[in-house]
Amino acid sequence: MSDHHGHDHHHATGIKRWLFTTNHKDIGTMYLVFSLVMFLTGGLMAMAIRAELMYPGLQLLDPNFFNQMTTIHGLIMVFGAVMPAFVGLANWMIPLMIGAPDMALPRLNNWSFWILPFAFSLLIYALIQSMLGHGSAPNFGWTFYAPLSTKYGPPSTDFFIFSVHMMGISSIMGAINIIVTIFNLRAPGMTMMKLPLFVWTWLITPYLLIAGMPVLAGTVTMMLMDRHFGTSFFDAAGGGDPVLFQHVFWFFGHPEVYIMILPSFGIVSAIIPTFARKPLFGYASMVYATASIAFLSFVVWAHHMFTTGLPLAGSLFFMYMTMLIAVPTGVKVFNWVATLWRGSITFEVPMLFSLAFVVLFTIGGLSGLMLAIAPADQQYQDTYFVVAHFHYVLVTGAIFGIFAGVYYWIPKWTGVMFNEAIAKAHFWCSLVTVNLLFFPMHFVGLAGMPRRIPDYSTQFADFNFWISIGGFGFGLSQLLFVWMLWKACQQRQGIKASNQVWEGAEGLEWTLPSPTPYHTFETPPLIK
Amino acid sequence: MNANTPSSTTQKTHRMVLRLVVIVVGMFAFALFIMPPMYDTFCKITGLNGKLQQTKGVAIPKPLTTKESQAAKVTVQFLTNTGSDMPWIFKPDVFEMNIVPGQIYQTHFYVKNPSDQPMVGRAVPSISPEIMTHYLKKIECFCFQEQPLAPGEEKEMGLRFYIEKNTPKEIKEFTVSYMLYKVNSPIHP
Repeated sequence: MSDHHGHDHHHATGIKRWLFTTNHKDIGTMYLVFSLVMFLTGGLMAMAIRAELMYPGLQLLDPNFFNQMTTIHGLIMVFGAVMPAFVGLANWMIPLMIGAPDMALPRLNNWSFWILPFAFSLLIYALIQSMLGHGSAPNFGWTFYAPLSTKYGPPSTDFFIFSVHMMGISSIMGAINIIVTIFNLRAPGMTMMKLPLFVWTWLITPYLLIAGMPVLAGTVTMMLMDRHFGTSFFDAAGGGDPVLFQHVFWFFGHPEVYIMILPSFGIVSAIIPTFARKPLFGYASMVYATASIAFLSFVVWAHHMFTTGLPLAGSLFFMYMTMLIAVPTGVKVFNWVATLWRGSITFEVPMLFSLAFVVLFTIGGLSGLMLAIAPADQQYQDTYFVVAHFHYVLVTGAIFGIFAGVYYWIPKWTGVMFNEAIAKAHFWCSLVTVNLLFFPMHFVGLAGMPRRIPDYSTQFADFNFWISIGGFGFGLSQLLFVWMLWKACQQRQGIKASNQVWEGAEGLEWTLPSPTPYHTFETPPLIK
Repeated sequence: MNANTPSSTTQKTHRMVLRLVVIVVGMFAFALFIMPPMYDTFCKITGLNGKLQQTKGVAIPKPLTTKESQAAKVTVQFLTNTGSDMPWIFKPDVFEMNIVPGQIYQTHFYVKNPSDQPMVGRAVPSISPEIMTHYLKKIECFCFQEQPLAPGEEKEMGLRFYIEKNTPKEIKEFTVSYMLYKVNSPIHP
């Protein structure tokens, strides 16, 4: 650490700058660009899925290829788009928000990023081989239930296993780095209860990561051993149990869904006070709510498994625990709304995305409560209702949160205001199409349309046609986002942003010049 | 400022990284080495997943009186399945039996190896509803051992069992299902 102080402002240029950088801003940028590329790649797969589902019957895709699309789409969006985007925002913003010169472990930081492209190349390589006619890419859904992924998994499953191992290592290192940074590098006077909420959520999320990701690594290791080394963890023939797979997978998988939403809570908690021009309502209760959600996320995993024959007592326990999560989540939504109450609200683009987040995430949360009811879940299990639920919390929750964050901080990163017309078009197009895309899924799901199947009964045809239109529209809308980013990165275009950027914004990051210099807070600021 | 000198921060960083790495390694070990046996034990104790308690000495129960047995008739159904790469023919001789709690019954399952290779099979039982795992007692079962069959060989495999007298009255029928798997590397004692 100590040799990183000093004032050498000359750094490597060209590709070497990006390969060897230990600067948190460079690494944050790389994470964000990587996640955008993955978001568009995963989006293309979603387009393929929607194209096939536009009309009943089989038109474009072979059913096995359809399964590969749903599998890789899920994996890429979860591990490649949402998680790296949050880590990128954390890298960029946490040192600026707590007044630290950089992350605590800069070299580890570089490594945790550069593992990711290799992990995803491995996964996508399997898909490219499959498109060239050599075998099949993973085709068992992103939840890779045994025995689909063990006994019946294609040979490329081993690529998938190593890919997941590498993603896990990357996330764990990133998580350790963030925890250490927040605990040790805060500027003098920045006490825990003065931390911005984005930092708080990113202090709690890494604990979920370091407790959850090793369990995922254990799961895929057991799969690997079952496939090649003659063990029978998940194989009933050898005395194992496929249901065990679901327990270990969801023991990781449920904290994982909170990993993908807590940082969004933090972003929205930063933006709403700025544009309502009021301090956040109930700061301390927000912190405690986040911590309780994180704790509860480890005791609800079997609500994904109500139809596996859980005993009544087990079903009830997991049902009540799951419903309990609605309490801290409700506290959060209440606090956001209370922050808006009698505020002087203006509707800049980050605020628009945040408001859409509050409304649409709540819809996703409500359908989650419906799914938590064990007897009702017997009916909803594996239908499009589930698809509607988790896309409301992940797309209009996590991804809208990321959009809000990018629009909020990008003037600070580039030094120019983004093009507001394009940004507003991006917001309104996304808002309309995303609801056209996911809202009717509730109806077809309740009517019994199963997920992960390339064909459906003709009664669902009209809804699916409109869902697909919404899907294509939402996909195209994201090109506006890419256009906005492109223009924002041409530094000469656009209005120069002030240091303050947003009138009502508070926090250390806004005391810095726009664009932020390469090195910031080399002497810690003093917090009053 | 004293608490934040670079060297003390580095020390604090190292200590904290070490602690976090211990959690990571611990969670990995937990998933791999502790969760599966824990799950197994849990299922055995509670009888969930249809895993039967294997008691060593079985006390022979006293038969019910005629009156008692009239009142407590229970139907047991037998189901058989074979694994996907298992060519054997496997079916129960009787698909359904009316039994009285406390009495011992015997039934047979037919099995044939139609392939031209000697093979070994193992049957894995599952009882539904799971509450019956506490009351069904097997005195002798083909599922206790691996079953070797020569090419073309056929066999009747026996099952001796009873259900306990205190079987809950609301249980009027239950299912015993056997899945027959191919054993690739049989255990030769």
